[in-house]
Amino acid sequence: MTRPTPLQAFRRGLPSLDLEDYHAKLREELQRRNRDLRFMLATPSEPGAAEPGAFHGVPVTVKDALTVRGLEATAGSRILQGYVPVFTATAVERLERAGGVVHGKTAMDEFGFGTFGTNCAFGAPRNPWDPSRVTGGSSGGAGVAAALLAHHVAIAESTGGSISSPASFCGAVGLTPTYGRISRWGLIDYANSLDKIGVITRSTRDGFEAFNAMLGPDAHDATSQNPHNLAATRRPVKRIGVMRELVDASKPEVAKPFRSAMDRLAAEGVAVQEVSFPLAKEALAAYYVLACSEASTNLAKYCGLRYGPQGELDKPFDESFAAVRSRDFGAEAKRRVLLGTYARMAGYRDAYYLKATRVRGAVIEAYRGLFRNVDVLASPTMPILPPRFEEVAALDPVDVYALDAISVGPNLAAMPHLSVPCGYVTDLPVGLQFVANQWDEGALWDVGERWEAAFPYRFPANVGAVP
Amino acid sequence: MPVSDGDWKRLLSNARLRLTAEEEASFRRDLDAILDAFSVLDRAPAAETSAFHPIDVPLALREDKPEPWDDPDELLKGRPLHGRFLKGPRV
Repeated sequence: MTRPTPLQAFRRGLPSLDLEDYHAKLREELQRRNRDLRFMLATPSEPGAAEPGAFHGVPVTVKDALTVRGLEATAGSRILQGYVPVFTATAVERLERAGGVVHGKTAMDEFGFGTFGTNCAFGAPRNPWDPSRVTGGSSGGAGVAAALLAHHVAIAESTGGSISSPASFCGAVGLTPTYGRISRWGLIDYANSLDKIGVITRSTRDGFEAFNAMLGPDAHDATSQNPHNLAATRRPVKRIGVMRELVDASKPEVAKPFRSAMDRLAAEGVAVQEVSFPLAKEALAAYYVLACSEASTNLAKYCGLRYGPQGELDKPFDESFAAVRSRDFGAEAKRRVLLGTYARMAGYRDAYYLKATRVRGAVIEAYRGLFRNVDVLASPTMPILPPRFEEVAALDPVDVYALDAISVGPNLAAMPHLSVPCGYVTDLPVGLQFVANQWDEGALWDVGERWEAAFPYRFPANVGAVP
Repeated sequence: MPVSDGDWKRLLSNARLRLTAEEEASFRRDLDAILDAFSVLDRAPAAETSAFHPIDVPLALREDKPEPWDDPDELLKGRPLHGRFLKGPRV
């Protein structure tokens, strides 16, 4: 008999639940936990009423990069402090219409600029497995919420690995769909050609149920589309390609449980073979050049005129704008604005920005070549265990960016990917990442469910568990 | 190759950032190191065409269709003007 997923368990308990009382107590408990773990930002004065639907009464949290009407949205940046949106992001609205109840915004790296969840203007969230360690980023608060709450959907966003990284470090399931599956309307942009809204949950099925509720075209986002019906494309995975270079680049304590997971899947009849993906370094460089180029233009509007704190305009525009930006952007935001502006500057545009767009094309082709022989690709999600805060502080930017080598590839190429826990080392979770071809999320659903049927997950808490 | 003094100055102006001396030294050192690490792009295989989007994005714009419009003279009547242009408040 298969175990019920956390959402199935919630629905079973729903008839005997006083929802108003349940959400009031949950809100109190979240506030209590937040004092130690700092994973939540704005919260509503009281959770809204639950609409009828498949997610009736299910607690939902929202990464602070997405708008929720009436709730402050900062995208983790001081420059947006006090910004209260007048509309709700399409993804959030669709989940609310299906019955989800928003409990608040989750902490994140400023504008999504981070691998570890440490570049946050309002304090870095702490890992619930060990609060001296980082959560992963940039959707760090969403990772914590998924690890703590027994029945819950964390709406998150990934540009270069911001769903997989915290899912891995916090021991949860992170689903990043194909670019364009879910409308980006209401998302505070990092990089428009890379941003993807997804979810962090406690099971593959729960993640896909939420994904199904949110996906599809939206008149507000011209890039949103749903070319293949997800249910129709769901198919059994027969062949897994293990990405040799990415496993070799991982620390032994991470590679070991990953290899055990592959052995376990092979024992169940899945053909597991090694494949080569030699473009990881090139993909990393192309990703950072493109992401920072787009970010530097997106962040141009934060200058104190329309967005950002407005002071007296007593100096020329450029000086006033520079003063606001220099005061309120964090260090990593400044670093990325500089890199992105440089990559687009006259004299360097061809060598950096345009070259990166063409390398991206080569990376997409390389992935497509691999998918001619396998259904999904697999590797560890992150090459290391969640590090301590002081270990991250000792890294220089090039070292930090290099740790994204596994996660940026599928993000750059818009390939959907799923991170699931595959082991526990000294009581810290290890993540395993499956990558599928564009629009082939159905393969991820199949392999994710098959994996967790054989491997029960552990969590550091079960906040709000229904009896 | 390290970023030149002239390019650094132009970069700060384009990025609209005014950094302290300490920040300048730190960010300039970081940028040099990052560009050096990303020189892998020079030798990277590249597709023939640029992939500005990773998927095919359908054109969401309709064709322009000329339509009759209100008389501009009527719209400008009684408003503060500068020649044939509307005059806005000084910012």
